Amino acid sequence: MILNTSILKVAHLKKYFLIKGEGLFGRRKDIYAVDGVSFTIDKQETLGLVGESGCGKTTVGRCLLQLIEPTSGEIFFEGMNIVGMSRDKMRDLRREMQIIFQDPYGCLTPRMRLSALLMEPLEVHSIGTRSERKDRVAYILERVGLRPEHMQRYPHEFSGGQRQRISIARALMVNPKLIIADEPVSALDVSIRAQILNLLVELQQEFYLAYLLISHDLSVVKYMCDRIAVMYLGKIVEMAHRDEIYENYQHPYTEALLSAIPVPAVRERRGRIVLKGDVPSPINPPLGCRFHPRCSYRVEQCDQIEPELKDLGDGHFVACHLR
Amino acid sequence: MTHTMQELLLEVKNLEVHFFTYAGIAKAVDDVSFFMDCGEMLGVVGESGCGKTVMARSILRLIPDPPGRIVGGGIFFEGQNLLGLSEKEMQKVRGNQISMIFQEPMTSLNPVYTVGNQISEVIRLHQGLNKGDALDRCIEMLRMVGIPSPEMRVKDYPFQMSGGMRQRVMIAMALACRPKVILADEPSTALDVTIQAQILDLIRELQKELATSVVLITHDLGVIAETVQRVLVMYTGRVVEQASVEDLFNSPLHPYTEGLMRSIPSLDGKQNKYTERLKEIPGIVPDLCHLPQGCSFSPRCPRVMDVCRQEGPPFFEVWPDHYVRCWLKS
Repeated sequence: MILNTSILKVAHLKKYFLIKGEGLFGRRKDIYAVDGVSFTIDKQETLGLVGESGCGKTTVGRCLLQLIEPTSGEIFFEGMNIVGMSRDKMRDLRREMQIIFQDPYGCLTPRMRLSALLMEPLEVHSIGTRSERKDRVAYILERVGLRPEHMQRYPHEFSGGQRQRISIARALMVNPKLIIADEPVSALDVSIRAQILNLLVELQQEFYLAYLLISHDLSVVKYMCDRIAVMYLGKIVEMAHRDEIYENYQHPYTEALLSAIPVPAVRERRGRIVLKGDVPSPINPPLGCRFHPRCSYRVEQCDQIEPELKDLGDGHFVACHLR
Repeated sequence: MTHTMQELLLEVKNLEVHFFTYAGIAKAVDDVSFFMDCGEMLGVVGESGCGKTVMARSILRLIPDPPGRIVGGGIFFEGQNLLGLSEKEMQKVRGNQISMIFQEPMTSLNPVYTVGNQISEVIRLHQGLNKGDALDRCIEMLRMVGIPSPEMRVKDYPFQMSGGMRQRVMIAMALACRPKVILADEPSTALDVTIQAQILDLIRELQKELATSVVLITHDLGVIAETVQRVLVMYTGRVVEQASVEDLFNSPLHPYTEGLMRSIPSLDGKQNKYTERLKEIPGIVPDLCHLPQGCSFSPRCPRVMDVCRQEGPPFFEVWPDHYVRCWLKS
């Protein structure tokens, strides 16, 4: 029926940040934050982007919305390349693509009441008449589990979980097709997280949303996502269907990441793989495979030749010389 | 509980810590009692604001006054009540016999001194070593916590090290005087999972090697399950459940503990958003200044009874050494 089911297609996305070198006349250096990332997201699909801090997952999210300009690469939203698009056109396009940030304390203007916070996206995009806007606000408010009497309150009067509900409501106001959720539950208390995750699932089914879920928490990603991409130092090292990642992982980094998670259950200790050393700096990424200095399976070519992302079939991709 | 005096190292009895704020009196720690044996690893788990950090800081008497004050109870270390000591006597305990690892390795180290300088300061102060000997000891400590080429790294400033390295320095500093108790407050929370695994392994190894007792404070049930032997679960300033780690995870008794465990998505098996909805705990953590009457978990509890809303439950020993503060088990 639908010829093209993908809503977003990212090809060879790169983002380098320039920083000043050491000393007064130091040469400027590049930080290779995102270095050639490609993926697609289908309609109503959830893609998980996991990795440790500094691997570039947040930068990818911001590039998609053109909140920062990519260095190179292409981003197709419903078949249209949005890299280099004019500001006006991009603003219109943001009706279709919204973002939820990690910190529910920092991303709401403290001087605006909830009613104004929710009205703002509709005003920016000139959607509807005054009464239609009010109806929409009331409807979304109820959908995210907030009450009408909250409308006159300021952000500081809400708890962390409620603030995250407000952020979600703001993203939903303009009826988007894709929501980028950047660590939506990391800043919340453990007993509140399940509430927000359940809400995100409900809303996805009701509003036919596609999600890009950026997270470092592999148990959250496993629950929420259809497909998962694992990032390390600016590159996707493995990408596959959810169950494939957890049961049939192919990359040594995915294996180490999975084995490092402390599991809340008492049982025999698994053979934990503890990675040696720190994540290298993205200013000077290692030659060859970026994971090779910490990899216990490395072979000769790993420190020379950078592995390509290979298709193992069934949408399972891995960048490793051993496969 | 049968204990000979040698085994019992630290005992906290009916500790009450209040914060006097404009919004009212916040009972940050409310009637908390527990004990610790020599060489034991005790976990304290709870959400932000449950009083776990305040409890640990109270043991070292590091509560800023005002607004906070220890208003009741006792902290007995090797039979001596720490609350009765003078500030000068307390300084001999802090960092020497009981030391602390803080959550933020970025902000807990002084940025304008080298790490060598900061660790040797502790050693010189408490052990009276001279500068050269203290530095040698410092290098030895850094080697023990797994910092490569420690002779070089002692001259580094904290900003020259990664987060994991700084946490290793914090651990070296806490261990420098071979304390009997280490209070580790979220030692791995600010770190990435692969680095967290390294740090937790290190703490476990050193604890075994040096036979130190460790209080591990965290919000992460996974870290608790894999690291400690006995657990206290805290909620709104109170210990709601206390058990061995096996009993706690195999048969949690308090509805809060049970709810927490069931709300976390499982890494095993096929659970996902299509197969089942996450079991959430409704409501929010109440404000410490306006706690509900009776049991503080009662507004969120799925099995609440009339008595819960009227009277706070006492501690019941349901099985040997498994305690719970819940009327369901009376």
